[in-house]
Amino acid sequence: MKFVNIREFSSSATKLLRDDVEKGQRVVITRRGKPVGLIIPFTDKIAVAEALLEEADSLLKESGLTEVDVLKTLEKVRAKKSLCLRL
Amino acid sequence: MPKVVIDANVIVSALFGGTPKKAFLKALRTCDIYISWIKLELNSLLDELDDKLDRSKIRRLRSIILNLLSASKVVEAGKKIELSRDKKDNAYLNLCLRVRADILLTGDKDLLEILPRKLKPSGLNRLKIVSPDVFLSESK
Repeated sequence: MKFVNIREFSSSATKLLRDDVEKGQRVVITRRGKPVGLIIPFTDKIAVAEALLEEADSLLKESGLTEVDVLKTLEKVRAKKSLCLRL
Repeated sequence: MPKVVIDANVIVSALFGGTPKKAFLKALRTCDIYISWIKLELNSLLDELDDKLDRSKIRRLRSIILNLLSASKVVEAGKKIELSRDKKDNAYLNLCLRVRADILLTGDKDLLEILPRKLKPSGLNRLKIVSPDVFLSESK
């Protein structure tokens, strides 16, 4: 894992992506010594999936949707699909 | 690597975090994932939610789901088995038969209640139907 501050990051983003991230290295971006962001290589499929699931969780929660609501809607969609297949 | 078929309801629950999320990540790490029509099913789900979610969020969720499933193998399931009380669930069993799956990961009560002895005569000898909790508690 490599740590760079915001100033370094903005001046050398292209180089960082090419020399580190594309080679599988994670990069933590810091401001005044504290981590504020993380760049994950797209080849690290578990870390990418984790980040995507976290984003999905916030999107759904911001919208006030609950897991139960969405699962009920999924059941409706399945019932419709199965009806269409039988027709 | 073990072959796992994942029910769309586990993907939906994984989007909300918790145990299903951990189970999905474990499947991604330790198994070959097989899917059939669930991208379509999840797309229709997002269409159905369009009065509760704004368009930009739907677009983003669509892309997230597509990315999450990008490492899965897409296989078309046949129509042979009718074991579940809920006929809609048989499609998952048929997919398991087609790919000779080791695990069906589901949150569906009807599928989870199918007795292992009923699976064998249908050719699903090695299939284990498990919930995310059970899948996580198993070693490996």
